[in-house]
Formats: sequence, structure tokens, C-alpha cells
Amino acid sequence: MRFWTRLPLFILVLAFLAPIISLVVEAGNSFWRESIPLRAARLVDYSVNSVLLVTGSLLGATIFGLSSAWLCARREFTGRWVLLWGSILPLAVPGYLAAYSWVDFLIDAGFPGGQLRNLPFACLIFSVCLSPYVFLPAYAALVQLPGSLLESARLLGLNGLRLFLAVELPLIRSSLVAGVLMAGLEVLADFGTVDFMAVDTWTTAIYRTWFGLGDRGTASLLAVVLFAVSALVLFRDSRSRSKRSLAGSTRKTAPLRRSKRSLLSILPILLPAATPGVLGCLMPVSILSTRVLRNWSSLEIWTTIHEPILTTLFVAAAAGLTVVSIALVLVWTIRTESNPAIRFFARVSSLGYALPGGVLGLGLLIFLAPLYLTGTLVGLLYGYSVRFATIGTSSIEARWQSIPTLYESQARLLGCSAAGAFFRVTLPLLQRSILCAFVLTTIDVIKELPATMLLRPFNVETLAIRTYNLASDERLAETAPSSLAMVLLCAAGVFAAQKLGAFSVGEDGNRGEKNDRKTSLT
Amino acid sequence: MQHSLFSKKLLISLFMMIQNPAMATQQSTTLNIYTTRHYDSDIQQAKVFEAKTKIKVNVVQIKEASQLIARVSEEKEKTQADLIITADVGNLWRAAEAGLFRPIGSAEIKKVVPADYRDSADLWTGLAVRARVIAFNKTKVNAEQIARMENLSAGEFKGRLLVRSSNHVYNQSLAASILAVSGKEGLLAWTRGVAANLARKPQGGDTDQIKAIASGEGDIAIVNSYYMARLMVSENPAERELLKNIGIVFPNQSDRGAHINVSGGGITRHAKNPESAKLFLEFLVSKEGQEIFTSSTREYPVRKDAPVPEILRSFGTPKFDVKAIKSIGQFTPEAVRILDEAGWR
Repeated sequence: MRFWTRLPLFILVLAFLAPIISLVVEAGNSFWRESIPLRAARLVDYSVNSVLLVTGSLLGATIFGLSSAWLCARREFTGRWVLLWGSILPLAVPGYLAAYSWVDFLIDAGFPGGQLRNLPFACLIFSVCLSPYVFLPAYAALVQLPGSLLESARLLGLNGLRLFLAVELPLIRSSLVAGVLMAGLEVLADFGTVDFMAVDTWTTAIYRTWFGLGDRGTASLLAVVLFAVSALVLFRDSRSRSKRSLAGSTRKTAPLRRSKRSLLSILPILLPAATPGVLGCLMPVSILSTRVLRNWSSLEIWTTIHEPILTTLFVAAAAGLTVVSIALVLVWTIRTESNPAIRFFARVSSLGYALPGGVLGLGLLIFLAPLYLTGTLVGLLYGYSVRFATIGTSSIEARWQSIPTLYESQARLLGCSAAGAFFRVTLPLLQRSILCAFVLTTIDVIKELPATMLLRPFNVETLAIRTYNLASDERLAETAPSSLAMVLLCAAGVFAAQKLGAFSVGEDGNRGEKNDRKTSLT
Repeated sequence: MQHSLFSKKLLISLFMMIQNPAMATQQSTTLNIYTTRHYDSDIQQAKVFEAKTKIKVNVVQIKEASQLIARVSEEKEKTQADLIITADVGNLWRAAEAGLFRPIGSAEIKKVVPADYRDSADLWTGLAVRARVIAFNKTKVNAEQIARMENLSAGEFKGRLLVRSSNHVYNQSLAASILAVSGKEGLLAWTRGVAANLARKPQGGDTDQIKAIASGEGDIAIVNSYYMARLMVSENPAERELLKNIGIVFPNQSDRGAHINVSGGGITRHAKNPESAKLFLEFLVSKEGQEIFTSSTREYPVRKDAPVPEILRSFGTPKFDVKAIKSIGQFTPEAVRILDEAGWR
């Protein structure tokens, strides 16, 4: 019985590990064949750059995301909802796209190109594009902090920045860390943006070794090293967080009311808070729209992008469904399993995110080819699942944790089977978070490039691929229609996810009160 | 509107994604291509070929040749690919080394493509050519000063040179061709000189280097003839304006000839439709196929009697370094290590 309920998990874990194991074997082969990678003479520079890039980007993303989250959560001002949306919407703009549109725009505006592509500027782009990873958890945590606690702190004389640093920040820290980590992994595994921004990072070393030296083995080895570092950080984090878990009070407390302020008085915080919205969304979108409108007649826009749009939607939706189903099995295991070893393995799903897409693609290729699965939809979906399962798992798990185990056990007492209790009690409660997981995965698949490129079937072109190809052919201006279509699709996804409550951004203080009244009435 | 939302073709291709075509019974009326090229010329050629032969052409494009090679290598005898086309001849060499090709066996190709542009074992053939040329600011540099690629390492050009990153295959191949003639020491000295002369950190694409001459960031750039020609005939007046003071030199005309990047193709060892693949290669080197290359992407043809558009004729008849073609693949890894050592990012 035990074995049978665990079987789906075993299969999944094996499926997740397979491409990684393939890479390790590939790396091992090269290890024995030749003595390793010191050939890449500049490995040290690359590592230093990676560290600087991650540090700079995360610092920036934290400053932007936190200031915006705090403003939206604690202050009432004209255009608050604009700032709120501006802080979420950079999710719809992939980093490489922001980089393309900025650099193209600035060079056209007469900037010397030489000053645009460098480490600080790359950090800025990442901070802006990844700031939602900080904003979303920070905002959600801030609005959930009990107002009484903050009122007491105020009575004790804490105010403004000191209140934030001494009371609020420590309380929301644990929910921040996960977001910051995800952002960090994304920076570490990125190649498209850093390559365009002329910054050599560890991924540059990987791809230069593979493409330039033609040495797949050493490239895999470098990737496995990157993977191991990321995995270590991830696991340490999940362990320390599980120890820390404060178990938020179950009693619903009224959140703090937002105090009204004039725009001028909040300007010092508003500036960093509004940066992501302006630089990571408004600017790229207006640059792209201008380009599209300017070339409206000459580009035959619909003919060139309508197939990529439909293909992208089809692939992304299929991937969303797959990832959600997998996430349900994984979360169910994490939730019900008492054996820590098994729970640990269920966590493996989050690791696909820690590998550059192109290298993960290689691992998948090695594993899929003997099964006739390269160049098929199944293979492609498998790749997406490995890469994005963690997105599905985390959003479903977050909700699941807030459902008391009591519900299921009571259903069991009333005669339901384990499966029955799950399907009749838990699943309906998870409905929204499942939809969210679906939408969030879809957004990421729309933006995904390297794995799609490597594993795709014949005659399949997604918007991301079309954009990348035009850009690498140095036709940046012509990327506008497909880029814009990509951003709009993702923005629609972000919008849908917000409406579904994915970001807990709707549950702000004022509406919270209404809900309280409703619950107290029933 | 001529396009319904879900065209039949699209629905079929989406449906086909579910199934691996290699598993289906193959008729010889299809041709499956893996290519690194993603140009309009290639799409147009496939269309013309389909109309002519009624052979259905399926294409997977993978930008990086190493990844394409990895996919075919791993797929082994199960591969769907009949034909591999890559944009740089070093990659064809790699694919040949990996044992991915079978002899083409076409008398027609042997007849029309000069032997220098074909593999000696008949495993691949060149299809189109781009030259690595030197663009320069006519008001600041004399064409004679930069008559050879080797000259660019001279001290007089300190702080004036523009080039893209050596992460790109164009520069890796160029370095390999110099390694082939000047040896390790020669290449190291040259790359060090180039690195020392750079006006800015290597960045952007070839077009960006041309723009940087126009904006005065540097005076001399190593670029590809194809980008130069494209700007020259651009419909955008601002782009043509960029070139006002910019001239180009095909280097090494008095010795080995200008370095070239050759696009080419070969039939896979496990091709299910080798005849279709051969027909397609023959079409690509036919006058008609070659003309699509030259007029659409403004690449040079491999066959001597193919029509060449006005813009390429305006460059004269440059001499190309054809002798290096077959050794570039072999020399590239060593060249990349030397580029690393010299600090040309």
C-alpha cells in the first residue's frame, strides 16, 4: 500500500533526476578523459563577475521591490494602484527583451553604445525585471502583519524607517528570502541577457567551452558545479526556513490602515519604488509599441506573428497543464509523507530551475533521444516540467499549507478514503492556487528560449525564438512585433494571475475589513 | 483576410508535434532539415523547392551549431534529420568529425561547386560565403594602412579598433584561419595587439561596430560583408547615412585572400530521405538557389557563374582565403584558448 501511493512520486523524482544524472555522467566522462577545465583561463574572472552580478542585481531588486511593497502596503496616495501594477508587470518583460529595447533605443537616441553594455547596467536590468520576485512576497507579508503589533511598536516610539527595520523587516524576512533566492537563480542561469550586455559570467564559461572549444564534457562539468552551488543554497534555505516557520497566528487580526500622504511627501521612497514600473515595463512597452506603429504598413505584422502566437499559446497551455498535474502529486507527497528522506526527494523538483536552459536541454537530450522523444511535444513538455515544476509546486504548496490538516482528517473520520478526502475536500479549496500555478507556468514558458530551441519539433516557432533570431541577426527594430506580442501575452497572464489572487495583492487592508465583517456575520 | 486564425497547416503541425515523424512510415516526399540558419533566404528556398519537387520540407532551426550537433549525435540512428545546414564551415567539420554525415554522391555538385568549397571526402558542400572585411572611417584612415588583417595589431591603431566578442563564431573562425598560417606565436601576438588597440570592450554585433565608427567611438572595425551590404541597401535613410564616411577593405588581397565564413550542408548518416536531401543540396547550388542567397541575404555564391546583385558587384571581385576553409574547424579550439589568453573577451 505504502509503495503504491509512493509510486507516482518515485517515477517523477526519477524523471527529474534523469537529465541531471545524464549531465553528471557527461561531466564525469570528460573528467576522466582529460584533466579538467583550467583551459578556460579566465574562469576566475567569470566567477567574480557572476558573484558581482548576482549581488548587484539582488540588492537593486530588493531596494526597488521593498520600497514599493512598503509604500503600497502602508501609504494611501494618488495613483497607488498604478504603482502596484507597475511593480508586478515587469514579470511580463523578460530580461533579454528589456535589454534589447533599451540598448537599441539609447543608441538610436545618440548614446555611445560603448557605455551601455557593462556590469552595472546589466545589474540594473536584472534588478528591475526581477523586482517583482521581491515585491510580491514582501507586499503580501506586509499587509498580513497584524496592525495591533505595529500600533504597539509605534506607541513605544518607533516610527518610519526604524519601525520598518526593527519590526516589519524581521517579520517578513522569511517570506522575502524565497523570492530573492529565485531571482538569484535566474540571474545565475541567464545567458541571453548577459551575453547581450557583454558581461562574462559563469554561464559564459559554460557556453564558450561548449560552443567554442566544442567540449561538451567540460561544459557539463562547469554546469554541474553551478548546479551544485545553487542546490546547496536552495536546500539550506528550505531547511532553515522550515525550522524558523513562525506559524502565523490563526486568529484573523485587522491589518494596519494605510495612512494618507501627498505624492510629494513620499517622493524619496516613490522614486526607487516606481523604477521597475517605468524602466522594466513602461519604457520597453512604449519603445516596442512605437516601433510597431512606425513600421505598421511595412512589416506585415499579423502574417509574421500569428503562427508564432498560436504556437506559443498552445505550447504554454500544454506545459501549464502538465506542470500543475506534476505539482499536485509532489505537493501531496510533501504534505502527507512523514518519511523525511522521501520529502527531501520530493524537493528535487525545484532544482531544474538552477540550471541554464541550454545545458538542461543537453541533459534532457541525452536522456530523451534513446526514447524517440526528441523533437516531440512530449519531450518539450517534459523539459518545461523539469525547468518550471518549482513554480507550480510553490504556489500550490503555499495555499495548501494554509488549509488545516483537520479538514482532511475529519473527512476521513466521516468515512472518506484518503483519495476521496483529497478530491472532495482539499482539491476544491486549492482551485484558485491551481489556476495560479497554471498561469504562472504559462508566463514562464512563453518567455523560455534555450530549452525550446534545442528540443523543439519541426516547424515550431515560438515568439521568443522568433524574437531571438531576429535580434541575433542584428535586426533589433524588426523584433518589435513579436516582442510586443510576447509582453502582451505575459501581461494578460499576470493580470489573470492577479485576479485569481496569485500574488495576494488583492487582499489589502481595506478590503480585508469587509471580508472580516462578512465572516463575523456568518 | 487571407489568414484564418487557425490555418490548416498550423493545426497539422501542432498535431504532428505529438508524434515523432521518424516513427511514422516515411515516404520519400518529405525532407527534414536541421539548420542553424534562420534567414528569409532559406525559407524562400524551401518554398521554391517544395513547389518544384512536391517534396515537403520540414525545418528545425537551432541557432548554435554545437547544440544542433549534440541533438543529432544523441538521436543517432533515430534522428529525424536528413540534412544538416550550418552557418560556419568549422561546424561542418565538427559534424563530420562526429560521424554525422554520409557522402553526398552528387555529380552535379562536384561539377558546379569548386573543390575548395567541398569536403575532400564528399561529406559536405559549401553553399554560400560571407567575407570578414575591415570597415574604416575614410576621413581618418587610409585603406593601404589596413590592407592586411595582420596590420590591425600595429601600435598606430591604439584605442581605435572595434570588434565584437570572441564568444562569436565569426571571430573564432578568423582567429583559427590566422592560427593556420601564422602558428600559435603569430596568433597570440596578433590577438594581443588587437586587444591592446581596442577602443572599447568587445560588445554588440557587427552592425554595432559599424554604428560605433559612425558615432566616432572608433575608426576601424572587423565586420561581416553581409551586414555592410545590408546597411548599404537599407530602406531606412538613417542607416545609409551611417555609412557616409565609412569605406570597406577586403584584407589580404595580395596574399592569402580575405577570411570567409562558409555556410554549407551535408546529408546525415542516418537520413531517411537521402535522395530528397541530395536534391535539395543540388537545388541550393543551382543558379536559382544561389541567386536567392545573393539577393536575399547578400552572401556570395559558391558557384562562379551565379548572378550577383549590384551591391556585391560594387565590391569588385575580392580574393578569398579558400585554402583555410578545411582547416578552420580543426584549429578553432586552440584559437579560442589563445583568444582567452590574449584577453579578447
